[in-house]
Amino acid sequence: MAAGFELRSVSRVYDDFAALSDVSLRIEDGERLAIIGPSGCGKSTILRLLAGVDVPTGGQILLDGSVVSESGRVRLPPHRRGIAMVFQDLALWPNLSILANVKLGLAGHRLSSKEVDYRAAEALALCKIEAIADRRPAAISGGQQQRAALARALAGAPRFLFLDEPFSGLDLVTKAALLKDISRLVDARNVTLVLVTHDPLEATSLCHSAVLVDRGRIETSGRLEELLDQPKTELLRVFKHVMKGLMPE
Amino acid sequence: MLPPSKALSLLILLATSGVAAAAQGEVVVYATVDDIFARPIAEQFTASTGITVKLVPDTEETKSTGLLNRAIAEKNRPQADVFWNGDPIRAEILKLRGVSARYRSPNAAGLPAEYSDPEGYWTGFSARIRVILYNTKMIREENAPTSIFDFANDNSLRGKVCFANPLFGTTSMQAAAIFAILGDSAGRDYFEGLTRNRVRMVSSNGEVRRRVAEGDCAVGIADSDDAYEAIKDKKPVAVVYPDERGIGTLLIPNAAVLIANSPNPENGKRFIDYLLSAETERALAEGDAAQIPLRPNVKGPSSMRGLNDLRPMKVDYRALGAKLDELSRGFLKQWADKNRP
Amino acid sequence: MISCDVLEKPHAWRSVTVIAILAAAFAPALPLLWEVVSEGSSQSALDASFWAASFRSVAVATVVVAAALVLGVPTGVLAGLYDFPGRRPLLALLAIPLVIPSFLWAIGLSQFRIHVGLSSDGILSGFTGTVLAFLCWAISLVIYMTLVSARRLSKSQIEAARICGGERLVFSCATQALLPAAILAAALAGILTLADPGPGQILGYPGVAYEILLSFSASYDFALAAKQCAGLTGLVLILSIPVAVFIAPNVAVGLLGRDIVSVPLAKDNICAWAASLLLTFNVILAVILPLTGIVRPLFTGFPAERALQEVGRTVLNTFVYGLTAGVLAAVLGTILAIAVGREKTLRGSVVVAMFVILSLPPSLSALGIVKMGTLAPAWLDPVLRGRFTVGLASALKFLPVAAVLAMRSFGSTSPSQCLVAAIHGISVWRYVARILGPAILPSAGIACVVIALLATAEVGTALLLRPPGADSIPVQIFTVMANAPEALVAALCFMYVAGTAVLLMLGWSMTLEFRRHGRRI
Repeated sequence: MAAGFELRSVSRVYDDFAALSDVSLRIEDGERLAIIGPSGCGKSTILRLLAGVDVPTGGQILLDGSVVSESGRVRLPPHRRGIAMVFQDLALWPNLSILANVKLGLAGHRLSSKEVDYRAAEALALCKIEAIADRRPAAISGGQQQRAALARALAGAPRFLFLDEPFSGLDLVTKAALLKDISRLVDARNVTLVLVTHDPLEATSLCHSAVLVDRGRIETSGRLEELLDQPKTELLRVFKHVMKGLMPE
Repeated sequence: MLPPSKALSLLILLATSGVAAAAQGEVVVYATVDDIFARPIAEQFTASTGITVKLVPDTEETKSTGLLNRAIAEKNRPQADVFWNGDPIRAEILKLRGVSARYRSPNAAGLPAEYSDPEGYWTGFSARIRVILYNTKMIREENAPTSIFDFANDNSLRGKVCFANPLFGTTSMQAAAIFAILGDSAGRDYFEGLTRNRVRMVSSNGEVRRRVAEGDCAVGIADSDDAYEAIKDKKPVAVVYPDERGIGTLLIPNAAVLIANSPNPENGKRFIDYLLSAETERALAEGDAAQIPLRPNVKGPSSMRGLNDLRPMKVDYRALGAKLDELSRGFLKQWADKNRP
Repeated sequence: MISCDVLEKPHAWRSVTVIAILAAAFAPALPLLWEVVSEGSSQSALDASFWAASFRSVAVATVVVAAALVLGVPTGVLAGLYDFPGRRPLLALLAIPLVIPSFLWAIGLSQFRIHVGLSSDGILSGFTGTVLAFLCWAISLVIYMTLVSARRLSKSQIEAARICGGERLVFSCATQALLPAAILAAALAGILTLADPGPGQILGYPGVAYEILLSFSASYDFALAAKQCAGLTGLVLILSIPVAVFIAPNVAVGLLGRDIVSVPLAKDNICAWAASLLLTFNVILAVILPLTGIVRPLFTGFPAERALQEVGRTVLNTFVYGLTAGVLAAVLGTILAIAVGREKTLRGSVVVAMFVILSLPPSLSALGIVKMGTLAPAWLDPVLRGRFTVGLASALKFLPVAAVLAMRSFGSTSPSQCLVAAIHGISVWRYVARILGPAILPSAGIACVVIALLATAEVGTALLLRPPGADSIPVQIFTVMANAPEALVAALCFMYVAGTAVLLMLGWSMTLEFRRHGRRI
């Protein structure tokens, strides 16, 4: 039985707009995959379908060989897929403190309140935000909010971590520090990472493999290093150019 | 669809219209008489004189702060020319507050003087009567109460009598009349007897009618037009004229009042003349109002007894106003508080 | 040229404008309150009877608030997040109690009780009956407030909760987030019950508003009534300040609104069924039961001709009163919202003031306007004695509703839009006309419709202020109901309710149309 997610000829149509067409993809346990592409190409849609918060119009999504979503139906609900997700707008609940938001991540697990407290504290420490645990999201900086969203995702020790462009609006220094910490945490916890991004720095910092999506279809996929070495598309060429500028030889 | 600016202009035009300016050929009448009775009379007046009547009807007093308050508040620059009251007590209040003007209509001749203000501030005409209403499916004719005192004394009626709130409307007038005739001590005893006999206080005469008609109460006391309405609707109710051998049946005449300093005093006088005419008494008798003409030569409604066949209660209507004022702040208020359901 | 950034900066004009508008809202009550000071009353206003009645009113209000929250919050949350067959018609039906005079609902319940043969000492009378009559209105308000707030939750928040803990967690998080708005709605409903004498009178549990009505309609003692109104206002202040201090900031933050992608309605089976059941239950309780009592006489015949005659005579006035109130309130509410801006202190103060305005008995203000009209010169009659006057009085009464909607709408605009406009040298008038105005216009339109319906249902004001010969449909219902045939009264009520339902559906379609064109409300 294959471990991990598999998309088989998945499509998603909204009214008369095809966001995804016939997408097939495998994400194996332990992989660190970047889904890259221009804005509006369907990257976030793939993530949402994997998470089970959206329903495919056609095709199947499998987890460890079992169908979890198929045309018009979600068979396995999101909270049972062993995933955690950090959204583009972070999705922190404004009326809850950071600690309460992090504890939210453990709501689907059957844990005692002591265990919940312990895990939440651990996640906050991992993300280096213990000092702001009692504050509300509106009272902390953008970078701290990112870490809070990440802490919530990691508190439940997920098998899969989905990041949907979570670093928008951060300054370079903060972003670099976050990327480093996420990479360390993902390694330490052996989490399968799927990152949606259009930023080459994020992709190359966190991921080993990549899938390039354009207009709802997979253009190419493979090891990121190889894709950048011999870029076959304009986007990859731009990626390579930017990486050269950031890290000149 | 109108463009927004034109729609707004139209709205402003409509909204700022409707002002009761002192115009020729118009009279403004505030009426506490039921709209369905007053409107045909107003229309008849317009048809015969060409004067437009702007009728402003009222609700039952228990439902809202009513027209009388509006008239009192407008005293210094009234909009109304005439106040058509359904009872003389409210007319007396208008007199005491300095809202009304003296006017002795030539058409008042032929109306018994005891139903009008001797000083000429209001004139009584066409009356309702306070009647006992009973549900014919619950009480047989021979067992129907014949006196309002049965409500307090007859054990077989315990818990079965509906009585409107005595702080409002014609029930308040009846309460004042009972105190005026029996004296304060006997009046209090009567109401305390009602309490002992578990009389059920409801919000209005209309509610009494509804509850008796539906069988929620076996017996109630209301006005003759309420009773007539229930009979017309073919409800299982019948009427008793109370205390024919005792204190008599309370008559509640309408009262026409000319408003002091009104915008159209001459038209107001003409409208009062029309109200006091035999023609109006006939119309109110023959129509759904089923009111009793005070003129002996005008035939009453077939469904009700005439004045000559009744034993009217002997009351000084002017004095009832002051009596009611005293009672509504004192005993009656406490009684109403104690007897709310 | 006044730069548009004046709309985003603290300035004295804000307080001045807020005070001016609130003063206008309170002004009609002043003539009678002045009588208290200058003439006094021979009677002590705050006697044992007044306090006993106040206790009864507070007891009813407390139970109404609690029951409205218990029934309304889960229903509002579920109806706001899940789709199910019949969702729209049920929600449309649920809006009816909001726009029908409370007297009518109480009479309907009373008639229903008699029809089914329940005892007059039973559940549909006295304390429980009065609570139920008010609950019809309060449940609708809480459900709507919760539902509208639920639609303002972001898609990603709901999905995050869904991923963490499934639908159970979604429900729990949403309820927690929406509770302040629901409590505010319930508190508003509770406060409105204090000023409404109707249901308590009819169902046999009269409260403090009844005492005030007695002073007006049995004693004709304006000074006494005004004193009692002042007492009631004091009571409301005491009750509303804790709400304003603890709840209003949370709601005020919610009032700011955010530009978010709202969560699409999910079609989860269990939750959709639960939503459907709860909503149906509430509709039966709040709408079907009283409506059955009201329209029962129609089963024996529908006097269409007579009813149409009455409606024909009064429908234009009904529209004029309602629309005037709606337009005026929407304009004043918008100006108030712009003046409040994003200032926390001003916002909290305005929320408290809104509570007080809603708690004032309508007759206090209406009679005050009558007095003003009497004292004013004749050339002011179009303003103080015309159809406009009815609309004006209702607009001032329901200003709080328009203000809350406008504050939410203003709050959802980004301050940076204004600052960018200022950098480009755009004047405040141009900015309001071209950018801010169009952004908040849909919300003002909705406020206009809602207030038009609320104002039409508020009979007391129209009774006292309508010019001679200018009755509206609800006024006509109330003036004929004493002795008109039951079928006629029922027919008029039915036509009024049906007309209201049509207008509500129109308002809903307008909202959907705005949304389809990408405009935020």
